Amino acid sequence: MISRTVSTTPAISVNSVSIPFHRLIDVETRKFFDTLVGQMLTVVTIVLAIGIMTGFAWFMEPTVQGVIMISGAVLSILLPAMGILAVTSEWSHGTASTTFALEPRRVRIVAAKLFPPVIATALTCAVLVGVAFVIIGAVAAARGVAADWTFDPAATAGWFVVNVILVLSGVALGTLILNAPAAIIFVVTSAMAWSLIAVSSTTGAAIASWLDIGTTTTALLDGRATVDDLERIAISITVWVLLPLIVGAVRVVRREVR
Amino acid sequence: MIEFTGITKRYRGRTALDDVSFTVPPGSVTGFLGPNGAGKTTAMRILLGHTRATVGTATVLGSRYAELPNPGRHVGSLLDAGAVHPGRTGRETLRIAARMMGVPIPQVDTVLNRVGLTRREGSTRVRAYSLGMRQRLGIAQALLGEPRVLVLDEPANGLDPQGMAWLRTLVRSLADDGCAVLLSSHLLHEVEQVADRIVMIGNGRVLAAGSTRELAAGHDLEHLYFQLTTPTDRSAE
Repeated sequence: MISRTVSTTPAISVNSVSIPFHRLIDVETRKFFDTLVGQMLTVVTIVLAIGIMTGFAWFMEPTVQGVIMISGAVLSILLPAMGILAVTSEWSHGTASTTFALEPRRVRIVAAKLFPPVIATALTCAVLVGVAFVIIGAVAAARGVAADWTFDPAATAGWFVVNVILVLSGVALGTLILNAPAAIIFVVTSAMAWSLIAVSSTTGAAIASWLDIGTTTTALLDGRATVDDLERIAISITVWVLLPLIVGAVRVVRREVR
Repeated sequence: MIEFTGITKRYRGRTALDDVSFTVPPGSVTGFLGPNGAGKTTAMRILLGHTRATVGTATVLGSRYAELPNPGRHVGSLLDAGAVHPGRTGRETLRIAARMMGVPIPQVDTVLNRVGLTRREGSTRVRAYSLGMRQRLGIAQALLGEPRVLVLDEPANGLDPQGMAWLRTLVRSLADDGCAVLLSSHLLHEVEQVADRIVMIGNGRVLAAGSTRELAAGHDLEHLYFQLTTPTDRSAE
């Protein structure tokens, strides 16, 4: 007689595949745009930028390029804030536990959350470039003068890259601090601090020329960056984007989820 | 199948769980009972990987939760009905979960219907939901991936008597279909009516575990509960 041992636990096949990364990006993008914060931030950023661009075209320099560049006055503040809010939302609403229950490999969520703010930034930039042409045409028509269509593709590309860096610095800081008000206060005060440091002394100016993203990226805005400029950009990005993102990711992976 | 093996969790000098071991077999409802602060939620949070155990392992379907690929398709969980973005509608909340798990979107309306949320309620922002509706939404999300294991922390909270009766029928039918259901509660009579097995904890320790019939034998579950759990069982807090 053949005796057979039957396992008391039934064989369980857990053979489903992991969630593909593109799906996580897709879901995070939807989560960014289906809430008021994501929608309003994008709309408010665009509206304020158009406001300052129109004023600039009317009162100062009515060229397409000049109008595009002036939008930086709005974007340099609102894009980091957008990046911060995009990643801190889950923690302020306590939804992180739901997200991590569906994808417990938290670092994948951290990575997927890089994309929606960049997508929103790309959209914003595309809209603003188009709007710049409209503003110049409208201002010229209103004044009855010839429109100045001066447009510098290299400088505009640089402006776009700077905007992506700005939003990613917000994402990185938000991931590190995981608290929107604290991170936003940090961004605002550090911007003020840098402007003081840069004029305080020659040493201060030298430090800013290596570490302040606002200073290092001016070469990109001019549409021409030398190797030296790129080195400075790389250093400042490492300090303000890469490091906080890596430390923040470690923190998110390790921390207790509430 | 859920397995807790020697789980101890210490927070700075306080022991929330002390050598907790028990299993939840497939095809059963296991009621997880204990006073507030006894450690029920902590044990479930450790199972889902929200918190790390100081010692011991918790597995579900033979692996650590974090190692399950696309875990929502295997394990449905509801730990906190409040962990939902208030600005999203119930349906949008479920759509996001469905997309993430790769569940067909039409399933969203199926589960909404199954938990008794109307089309109109599904289109309402969660901000306006009552606790009972949030519980139903959380249960809907737990069911979305057609899981074989369910982990529900106090799902009866905020439900009206009809809701409780519905929940009993639901978990019973899921267990009869082969699901392993772990359901925590402090409502003894509710649990007694639906659970095949009971795990009772107090002050972080398993006080009793076994079939509901055995544990309630002679008296009822309440009698045993008050015998085993003392006011000091909450001192852990």
